[in-house]
This record gives sequence, C-alpha cells and structure tokens, in this order.
Amino acid sequence: MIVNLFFYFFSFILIVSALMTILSQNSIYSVLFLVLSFVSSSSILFLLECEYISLIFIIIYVGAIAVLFLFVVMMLDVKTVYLAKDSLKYFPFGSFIGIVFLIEIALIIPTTFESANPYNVSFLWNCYFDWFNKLDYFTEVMSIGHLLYTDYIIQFLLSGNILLLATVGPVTLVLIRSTKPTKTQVTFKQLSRTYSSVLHI
Amino acid sequence: MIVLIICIVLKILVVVVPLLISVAYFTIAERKIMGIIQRRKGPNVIGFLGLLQPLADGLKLFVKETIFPSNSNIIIFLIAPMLTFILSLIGWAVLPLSKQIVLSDLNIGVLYLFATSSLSVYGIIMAGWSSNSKYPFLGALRSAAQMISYEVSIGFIIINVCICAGSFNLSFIVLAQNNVWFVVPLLPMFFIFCVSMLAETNRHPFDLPEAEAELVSGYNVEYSAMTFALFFLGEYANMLLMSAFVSILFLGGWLPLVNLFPFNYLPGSLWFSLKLVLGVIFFIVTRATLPRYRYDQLMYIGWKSFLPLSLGYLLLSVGILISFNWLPT
Repeated sequence: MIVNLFFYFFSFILIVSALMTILSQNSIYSVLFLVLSFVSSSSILFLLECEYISLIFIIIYVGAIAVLFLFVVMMLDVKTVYLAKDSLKYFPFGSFIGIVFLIEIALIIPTTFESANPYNVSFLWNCYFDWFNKLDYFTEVMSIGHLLYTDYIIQFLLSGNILLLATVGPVTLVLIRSTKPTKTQVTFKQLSRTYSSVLHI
Repeated sequence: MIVLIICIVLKILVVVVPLLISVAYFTIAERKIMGIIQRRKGPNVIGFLGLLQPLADGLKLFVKETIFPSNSNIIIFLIAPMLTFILSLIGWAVLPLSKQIVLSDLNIGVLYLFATSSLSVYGIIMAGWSSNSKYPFLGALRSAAQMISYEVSIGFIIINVCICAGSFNLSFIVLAQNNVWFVVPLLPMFFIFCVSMLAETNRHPFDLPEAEAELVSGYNVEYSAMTFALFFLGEYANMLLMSAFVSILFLGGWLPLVNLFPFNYLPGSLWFSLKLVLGVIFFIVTRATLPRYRYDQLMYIGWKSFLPLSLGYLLLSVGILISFNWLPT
C-alpha cells in the first residue's frame, strides 16, 4: 500500500519533471529538472528492489554526467529562448523519432520477457527451481556478476574497449606538441632552495 | 499503519538529534583545539568552560534576518542550503553504529554513501549560480571540479576495501576486519583516503571554494542567518560522516582495539565513537597547521598522484588476493 503510494508519487514527479526539462525557458532549470527526473526514476527502481542499478544510475548520471552538464550550462551566458517560434519547425522530425522509439519498445518488451517468465509451466519450460537459492542466497551484485562474467562476457569486454577508445581519443585530439618549451615548476626543486643558494649581495 | 509511521519517524529522530548535537559540539571542539594550538583560550564565557557557546551561536543565527539579494534567483537560492543539509543527513541511514544498531542494513551501503557524497556537490553549485555574483560563482566552479576529481580516487579506494572484505555491506566490511584492521594491509590507501576526504568536504588545506583571501567566503557569501547555518551544519555533518566512513572502512568500526577482556567489555558504540573522534581531531589539526594549496597543485595531486597510485594499488591487491587464493567468497 505504502509502496504503491510511493510509486505513484515518484512516477508523477518523473513525468512532470521530464516535461519541464523540455518546456522550461531557462536552461539551468532544464538541467535541474533533468536531475530530478533521474533521481525519481532511480527511486522507482529502488521501490522495485533493484538497489544496485538505481544507485549506479545516481552515481554515474547524476553525480558525474549531469554535474558536468550543469557546469557547462552555468558558464554560458543564459538567454531565455522563445520556444513557440521554433517548436513547430522541429515537430515532424521529433514526432517521427518518438514514434520509432515507441514501436521499438513495443516490439522489444514482449519478446524479452516472454522466455524468462518463471511461472511458465509447459513441457519446454518444466524445470525445477529452488526459489530459496534463486532469491535469497545471492545478493543482487553477485547475480549481476554471475551473468555479466559468463553469458555476456563478449559484450562486457567490447563495451570496455569502446570506453577505452573514448578516453584515449580526446587525449590524442588535444595533445598538441608545441615547439616552444613550456614553463613548468618542479616542486621538489622549488622547495629545496635555501637562502644561501639564492640570495647574493 | 500510523504506529508504523510513528516508529519510523522515531527511529530517524534517534539518529538525527544526537547527530545535530554532536555537530554543535564539533564546532566548539574545533575552536577550543585551535585555541590550544595557537596558545589562546578559545570560547570560555558562556556556560561552564564555554560549553554552551554553540547553543548561543545557533540562537544568534536563528533570530537574525535572512537577506535575499535582489538579483538572485530566489527559488534555487533557497533550495541550495536545504539540499546540502538534507544530503549530509541521509548518509547516516546506512552507517552501522554498533553490532546491532543500524537504521537500514543495506546490502550496498557503501555505494549508497558514495552516491550521497557525490550528490552533495549540487547544493554548492546551485548556491554559487543562484547568488548571481562573481565570488560565489567562482567558488562553486572550483568546488565542483575539486569534488568530482577527488571522488574518482575515493571510488578506487572504496573498491579496494570492498574487494578485501568481499561485500558492499558496511556491517560485513567491519566484521571482515575481525582479525586485522584494513589500515594495516592497505596503509597507503588509508593515507590517500584521509587526504581525499579533506578535499571532498572542502576543508583546509583544500578549502579553495571558500578561500577568504581571494573569494571573500566563496559560495556562501550571499547567505545569512538560517540559510548560512544550514550550509554550516551540512559541512560539519559531512565531516562527521566522512570520519565515520573512514573508521568503518579502515579502523574496524565498532571492533575493540584487541579482543581481550578489558577492551571487549566496553560497548561497541563507544569504540566507534572513539574512532570517529580521531577523525574529527584529524580534521581540526590539519586546519590549524597546514597552509592552503594552490588550485593547480590541488588538481595535480588529485589526477596525477592519487589516481594512478590508487589504481595501481587496486591491481596489486587484486593480484595478491588471486595468486594466494585469498579472495573472500
């Protein structure tokens, strides 16, 4: 009962803040509403007892990415944008993308959850589950690790390589070898200077 | 149902009220110890030995007028101190104060603490932006960059401890230190964590967000009275939280010094609070002794010294654990 109430509360906040992200005139407000929608969606995940995913969601999206967003947007000279003029121009394209995503989700959801239905009692799926072991013995982190390092190891390694590429790429892009020697201060040298070696009268 | 809600509220109050009192006495401890270090008396007028000084300060801040700058963004200006204060309190929900005393024994309590500490940068950024003035803005920019960069090395240190303990649960981490505290095998990580903790809570010598010499008072220049008090309480509660965190990760939480008769007869919460006081004294003594760092030096230490060292030590400890087959199951 209380959980249901909280679920409706957080989903209401999620929908309203997601709408406000698009509709608000001030870009700082947009980013803050985006953060609010991240937090409320991870609270919904918390209510569904997916603690690990929801906390990782908060740490990565809210704690790192949205902070950088806010950091950049704050430094821009914020001018209020008049939405009404431009919104009609982008409407067909935006609605096209929205419909494509809606169809994708509608196609994916039934196929993904069909085979994994634990209550499916046919000859094909008639196998014995010790539910105590499945539910209580493993913590959530352990079960994610079991899946990630066995069944999905190739995807895991691939995504790791992509992330490595993404870190190396910007470094090589901004690395400009200048011919002039840059002025740097060696802390050890600086600290080991004494009066006798520096002062000359 | 109503009884249940009242029980929950009472449980929360049992954690929060002593926390706020200890924050109040943290401030007077800071002023007294810094007085001793600088050979002066410190506050000694109000109450016996000046022990009622924090209450008087609180009363003063409470009855003063809250001033809103005319060009500020009032909504965000008001939300920022509340957010800082609330985020510094909710971290205490998962801390085990003794063997049985914990509000919520979350399976991934470490990640929860990490998430709350990474969220606490929002209060400062919002305060700096909404004040609509250059000094708070510069302070907020500095603070955001500083907290993000030190969170990275703190994350690696926490992973290191969790691998040695084999769990993300804070109670399990304490119980895993039954034989030896993690400060012994992970000594370099302990030092790095102590320094990163100073940077994470914006304390001296890394208090660049509120450097008085350059930025007046940083992100809270425009705040007065109760809004300032909320920032102040939040900062000190964060420091207490970090000292509790370091005592759980490295100093064995509620475990006694040695498991012999006179030591293990004392209650676990007393041991825990003794270790927490150690952290508090560390915060105060570093504030009194060290000069402030330059900003580029701060970034240099964070990215070029601490991050490679904690990453390398993580690889080393994982290598040792795997090769000797010591990984906890």
